[in-house]
Amino acid sequence: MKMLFIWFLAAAAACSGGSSVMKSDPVILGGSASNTNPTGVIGLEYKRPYNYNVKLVIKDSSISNPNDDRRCFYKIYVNKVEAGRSTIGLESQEKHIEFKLENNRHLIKVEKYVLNEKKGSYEKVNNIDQPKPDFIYFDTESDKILNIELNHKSASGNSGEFSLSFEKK
Amino acid sequence: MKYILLLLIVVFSADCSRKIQFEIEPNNNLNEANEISIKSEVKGKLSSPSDKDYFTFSVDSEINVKIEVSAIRGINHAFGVFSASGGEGAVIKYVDDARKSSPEKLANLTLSKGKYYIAVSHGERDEKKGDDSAEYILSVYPSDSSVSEIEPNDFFDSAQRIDFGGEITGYFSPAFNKLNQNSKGRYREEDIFYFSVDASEENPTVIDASLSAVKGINSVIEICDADGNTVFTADFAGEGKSESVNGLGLMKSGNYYARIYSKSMTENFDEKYYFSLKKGDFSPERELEGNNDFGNANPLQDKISGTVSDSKDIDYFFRSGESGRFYSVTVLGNAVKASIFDKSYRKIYSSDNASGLIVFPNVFCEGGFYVSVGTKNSSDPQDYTITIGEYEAEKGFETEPNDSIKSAGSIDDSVKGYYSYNGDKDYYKINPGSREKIKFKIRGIDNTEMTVSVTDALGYRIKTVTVKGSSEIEFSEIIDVSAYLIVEFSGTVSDSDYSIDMIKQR
Repeated sequence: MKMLFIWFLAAAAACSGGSSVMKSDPVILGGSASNTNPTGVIGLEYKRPYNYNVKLVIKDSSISNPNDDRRCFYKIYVNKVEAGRSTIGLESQEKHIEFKLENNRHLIKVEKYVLNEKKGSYEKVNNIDQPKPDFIYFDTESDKILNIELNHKSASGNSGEFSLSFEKK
Repeated sequence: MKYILLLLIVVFSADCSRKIQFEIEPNNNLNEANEISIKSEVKGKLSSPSDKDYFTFSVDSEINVKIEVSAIRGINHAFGVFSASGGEGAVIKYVDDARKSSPEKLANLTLSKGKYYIAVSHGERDEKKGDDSAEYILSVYPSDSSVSEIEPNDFFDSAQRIDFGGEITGYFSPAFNKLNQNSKGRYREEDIFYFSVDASEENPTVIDASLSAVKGINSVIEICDADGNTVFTADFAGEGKSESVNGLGLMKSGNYYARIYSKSMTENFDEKYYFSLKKGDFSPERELEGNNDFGNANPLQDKISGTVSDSKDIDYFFRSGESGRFYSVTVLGNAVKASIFDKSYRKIYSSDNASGLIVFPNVFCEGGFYVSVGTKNSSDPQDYTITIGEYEAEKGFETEPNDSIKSAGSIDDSVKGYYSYNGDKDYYKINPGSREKIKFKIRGIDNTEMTVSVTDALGYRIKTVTVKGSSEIEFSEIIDVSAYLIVEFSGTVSDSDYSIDMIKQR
């Protein structure tokens, strides 16, 4: 009974915003290139997967000058197979792509393409300008939608900061 | 030594036999004109700025004469020819090349029985100044008896008749005609001939005319209707080359005029031109010249042949069209180029295929379309044949023009298209309405390499694939609500189609 009470308190603290890494919504589950298994948090109702169970969102928070803000997209490889591309937008904007993946551990790798207006086409940026790291390993759960957010700070050494959360209702 | 002496005697005796009379002043008006004769020369001087020397001669029967006044150094002079019956107000010919120190020449003037005057004076250009020391020689001689043009023939009302099958010889002389005050071609020396035509729209009269080459002359033949409106201009060849009108179709009865002139107002006093006129045979499968613009396009049924004279000649044809049908247009001919225009004269296709065969496989034009044919910078005449095929339009075929984003045609799930001409590009708009992953199945064309690009909603290429020959390839791409497909080609233009099928994927 005592153990149950302690567990309840921990869960309540997590829900009330007490965590330093947690934003208002959704719950943040990790922030490294390799996430932890998002277990141990209960008491919230998560959106159940329908068409997808993984959503990748990519943005660049380091861009503040419109002249540097190019149209771009990211080509996505899931488990080393090309799986599609993100939506297209300015580097500073959120671009996303969704997947339906089986319950397992997976690898996502991203590849950035920017618009060359003179050529009228998108071109892969040099490796040196790709996000670092450009991959993440994660586990999926059958009853939750996993949100993976990549903040590619191109103006700050091209660091790629991944964070994971489950999408709430 | 004996032979040298003999030669000197011959030379001196020849020189002494050429006695040239001198003008007798005062000869400053018609009444004081000096008498001369044909086959004579007379010396004179323009002693003062107002000096004008008059000479007179009589003609017993119609004769062609040539008249020349030699150059006076530093002076621009001129001469006029008058008949006694008309007086000075009725000048027959006024010759002034508007240049200093150059002779004034008239190669051919036809004079009937009567008395005539020649007045030598200062020209109209430059300051008039007398020179008592410089002499000119006026010579009047019969001209080449084979010349058949009757000068003056400079205006429609003095045009000379030419019959079908006839040939006229004449001269591009003098350089200018100061009496020609027409705004179009002012001062231009023209020889005008007329001929009669009995024709209708159903049964046009076809004419061929040719004008021989004359050294230094860039000649022009203009054919005008009875009202003086130009119906055709042959100005295809350059200086020193012949000019011709081939297969000009005249659809109204009446008199027509052939106007001949030197484009750059140059003259040739010595070399004759030969101008001939023939009647050709009318055939609905043969172009009728005068079809050099949209307004005069020849009607086109299933087949027609024609000739483009040179790089300036462009022939136009109009094919009427029905809705729900499309047409293939084949142009067979070496060194020709062809274009297709819609009824609003908007160019849809253009091709100058080097292989000698131009194919426009799918012309969709509500109400009809124009075909134009020209040469690829060739100065030689090029024959060609246009053949039309008519087909019932199937759903899902590309509709030209679709060579830009603005003209892109929308497609739902499949389309067939053609590599219609060199440089052809086909744009299609895809509009699934939401973000969709789509599988594209593409079949190419034999002997052609196709590139197919998928773009974003603005038309910027995201992915490009190559299809070689008639092989099939598949690829998938995500479409963000809307996108474009751009199909580009290299290789041989073909009348075979390509196909693109699109399948939504989950």
